[in-house]
Amino acid sequence: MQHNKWIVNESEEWVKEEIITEQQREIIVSRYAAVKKGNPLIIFFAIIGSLLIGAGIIMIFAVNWYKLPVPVKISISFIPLLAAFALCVFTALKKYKSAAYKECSAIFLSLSFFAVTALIGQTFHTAVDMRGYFLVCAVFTLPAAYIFRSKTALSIYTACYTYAAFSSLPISLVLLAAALPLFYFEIKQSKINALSGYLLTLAAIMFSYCISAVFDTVFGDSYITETVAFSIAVVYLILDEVLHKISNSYFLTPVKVMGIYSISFLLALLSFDMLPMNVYLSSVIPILILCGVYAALRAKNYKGMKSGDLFAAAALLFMIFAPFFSVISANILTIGLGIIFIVRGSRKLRVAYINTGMFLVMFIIIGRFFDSELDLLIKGIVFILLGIVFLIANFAISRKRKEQNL
Amino acid sequence: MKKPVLIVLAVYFALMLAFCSYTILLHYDTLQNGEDYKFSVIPRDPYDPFLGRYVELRTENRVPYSFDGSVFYALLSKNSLGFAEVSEFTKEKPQSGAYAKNLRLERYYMNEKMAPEAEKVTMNPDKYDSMYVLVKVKNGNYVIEGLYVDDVPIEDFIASRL
Repeated sequence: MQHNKWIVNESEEWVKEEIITEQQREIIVSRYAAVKKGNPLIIFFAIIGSLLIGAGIIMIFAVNWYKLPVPVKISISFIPLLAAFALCVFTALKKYKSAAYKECSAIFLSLSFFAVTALIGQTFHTAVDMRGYFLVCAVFTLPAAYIFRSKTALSIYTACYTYAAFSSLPISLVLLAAALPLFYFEIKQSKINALSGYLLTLAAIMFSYCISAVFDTVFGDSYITETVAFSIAVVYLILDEVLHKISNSYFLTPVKVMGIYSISFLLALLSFDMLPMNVYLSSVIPILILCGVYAALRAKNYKGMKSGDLFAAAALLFMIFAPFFSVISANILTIGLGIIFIVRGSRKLRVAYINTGMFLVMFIIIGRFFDSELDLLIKGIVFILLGIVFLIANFAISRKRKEQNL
Repeated sequence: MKKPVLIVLAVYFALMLAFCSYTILLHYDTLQNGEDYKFSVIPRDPYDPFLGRYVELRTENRVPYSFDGSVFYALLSKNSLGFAEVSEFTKEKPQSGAYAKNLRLERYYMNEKMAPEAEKVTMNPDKYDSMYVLVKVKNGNYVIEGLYVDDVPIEDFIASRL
């Protein structure tokens, strides 16, 4: 809602109707203007845009990387880390109350350290030790998570943990113990719904993955895996719809979260060209039936589109198009869902929607970065263009909000 | 409120820079002042999503599987042709002689276009007199200086063919 614009127009009427004086009107308007907050979406767009342009420049450098002398390579490697230091100091001095700035600073610092470590390894052709690499990255990411109370940095730490601590009890215990106080503080401060949603999201990914893997092991046929995985996700949505009718308890909505995130995860995973894919037209039948059931349940009491509808449709569309062009359809559907969520989030000013959308779009961008078949120069140009698009989007939203006096 | 955060940040940055600088200095010193060892290799061209395109090196001296995950030392010597050989892999730190800690000559990073070309070149090793990596070794630390085909750096060798 455009509260500020509304109060300005409405208070003029109050003055005309002599309900309040002009002085009182000014006090009321200034009071509402004072509580105006920065928009995290704008900061996210700006940071992501800058990161993409930075990554694009690094890739273009990388084309001629081998020609550069070692000291020059080392100096260039440090640029992102020094830029991250500057952002962190700025945040600590000027924006320490801004959650968006703190998140961005922690992410930027963590990823810059990842980049510097990788570039040093590449410059000196060191033998790869992925566990050591992720262990060092985890160790140096955790302080950023603590200093800026960053949940994203904590997620990066958790991702590194899964690799570094795999089948090593001492490392897993030490890393877990190091992060536990932060988890404790965050859980203590978080609202119950936000926390349970977050935990169930992780559970959904793991649960779906496990069931798929079990079926894959039992049947040994990849097309069954995708069908089963998408079926589980749509079952979550049906379950949410059924349970929601029985009770309006909040604790039932995480089932929807599980469904949505399962479909997002599966689509994002299937967008990689390297994964074996063998979907037949017959695979669509279970999804078609389940989506039919879901649609019937939704149609009974339709009050406008819900997030689950889009994801159920995406699962169905994917299974229909997968036999012909699975990778392309997974990419388009994931990006499409991301854009829809960013737009819906911007209209409703719902950060959760925007973050879901951003996550999906970013996953596809990062996923394409890891595609080995793309030339570095092309990757670099694509990243710079995407960065410019993000910055233009940022500029457009910022301008629109100014016009609307938000 | 700001001062403690800034102090913690300063310590954190210092630790990060110290870690990176130590790694760089250790490798750079070895590269500048280490002793030369040439290891015969057969390259292959795979891809690492984090570090980029590289040439996988296969030397005659493979690390025993029993040493996986543990610290080990490779005792180095040179044969009559001047090429390096690993006389022994051991878990005990050698008291004398040249050695390299955790010697794994596995990767040589190359340009995206050059790595596949390198693979093509090395598909016919019999066509060339020698193919080796030059490794600098100092105090147990080692750094790969370059990959050579007939004593020419592979980057120059391929550039002349492209």
